[in-house]
Amino acid sequence: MANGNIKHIVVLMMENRSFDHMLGALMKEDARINGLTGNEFNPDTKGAEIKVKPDAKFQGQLDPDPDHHFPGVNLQLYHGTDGPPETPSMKGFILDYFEQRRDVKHSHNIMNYFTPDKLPVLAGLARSYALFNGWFASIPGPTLCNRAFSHYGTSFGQVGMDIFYWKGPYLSIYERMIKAGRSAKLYYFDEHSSSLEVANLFKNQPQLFGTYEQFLADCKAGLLPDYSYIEPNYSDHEGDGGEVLANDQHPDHNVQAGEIFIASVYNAIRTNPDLWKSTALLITYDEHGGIYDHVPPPPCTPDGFVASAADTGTRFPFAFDRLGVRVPALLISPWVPRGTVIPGTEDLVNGRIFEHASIPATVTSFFLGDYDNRSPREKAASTFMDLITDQMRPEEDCPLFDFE
Amino acid sequence: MSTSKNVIRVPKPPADAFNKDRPVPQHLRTQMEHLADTVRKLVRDEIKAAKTEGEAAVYIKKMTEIVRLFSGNQ
Repeated sequence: MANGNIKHIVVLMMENRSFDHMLGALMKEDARINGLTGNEFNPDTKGAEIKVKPDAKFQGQLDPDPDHHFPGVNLQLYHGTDGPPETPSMKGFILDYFEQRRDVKHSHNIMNYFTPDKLPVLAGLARSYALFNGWFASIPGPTLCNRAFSHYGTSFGQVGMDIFYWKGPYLSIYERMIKAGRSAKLYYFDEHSSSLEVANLFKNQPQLFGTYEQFLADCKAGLLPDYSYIEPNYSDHEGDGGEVLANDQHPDHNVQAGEIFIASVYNAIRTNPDLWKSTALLITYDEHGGIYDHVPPPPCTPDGFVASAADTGTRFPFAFDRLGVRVPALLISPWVPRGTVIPGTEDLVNGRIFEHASIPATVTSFFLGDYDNRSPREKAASTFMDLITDQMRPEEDCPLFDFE
Repeated sequence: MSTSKNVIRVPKPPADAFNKDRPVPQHLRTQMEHLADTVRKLVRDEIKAAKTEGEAAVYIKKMTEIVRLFSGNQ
């Protein structure tokens, strides 16, 4: 088994950026990447066709926070169509953002994207390891229900930001691991930021939870659990040592702070030689945050739950049978060939679709093997450990980050 | 370990990037509610579980500390 060298899986989930916004410009240097040609456009409220622009800023441009709740995403996806089950037009992003500030010029910001030179960490990792062309949010909706898929393989019928309760019958991936005698830990940034979504598991501290400081110490000491899930800092706040900058990249938090955080997670693994050669690191984003992406989300295996039209805030009930907007996703390991691009929906023959249920699906499959008590979505989700090869790349071929 | 060829420089954000006066976004508001709900459940469980004066005293001490913490009377 090629991935027999891997002993640890680490997942870092950032916040609210679309694939095209962060990585779409890479298509100019690698045609295999399903990014932006520069001709993609959305209509604005005056009827003008506004093309994507390489003018994204680190901060101050997406304020107020773009809408990413179910009805807003519905407009972003289906403007100009009759709605589902039609194929999304991806033409309503500007119209939806206009509603936030009712400023036509400002609404065009939702089409902006970063050039790779602005994001040396994310773009550098994408060039160096594996980039997924087809990793989608699990739901065309907001943070909590999407993060739930990464923990449970389902959101138990939730499409919004209601407090998420574990309703059974499915255990979180952390509980599954612990029950099977494996180790798993969720590292949140600090006590001021804490954990989103799984506060209902808090009574299991410290077995299931640690801080980012502990993650760094565990990496150094070679004490990382089998499975680790890292949460960024969700707020600007005063910490014990002074000002602590949010590093989740959620608009309008500073994107460069997130770059530093991603780089520090990577460096922590990369600089311990034993850990580096035995770890697979997945970096992804919970959802697109209302920011433009050109790829229509595909259908998926229904989840066994149905959210009513009242719950979705649209004319339609939702059977969890289609995915949310595409997000950046990278798989990092010295066992991944440089410049790997995993095709997505653009490749009708070889394309593979991933979503956040792919996370517990992969961790379960890799560490626990057969495990039946999972949601239909998770059981059907693609797993990614087959991307690990048996060829370890030389030291000098794997980058390190240096902070200014 | 590294060579100059594989080192990528990471710029830092400007000093004025910090803004703790930003309005609370909805996901943090929900996180606050979720934590409060989790505490309520744990508190209820502990009240139910207390059978002795000693156990009641442990609970009362914890709750007194929480009340002090939230009323700013530390």
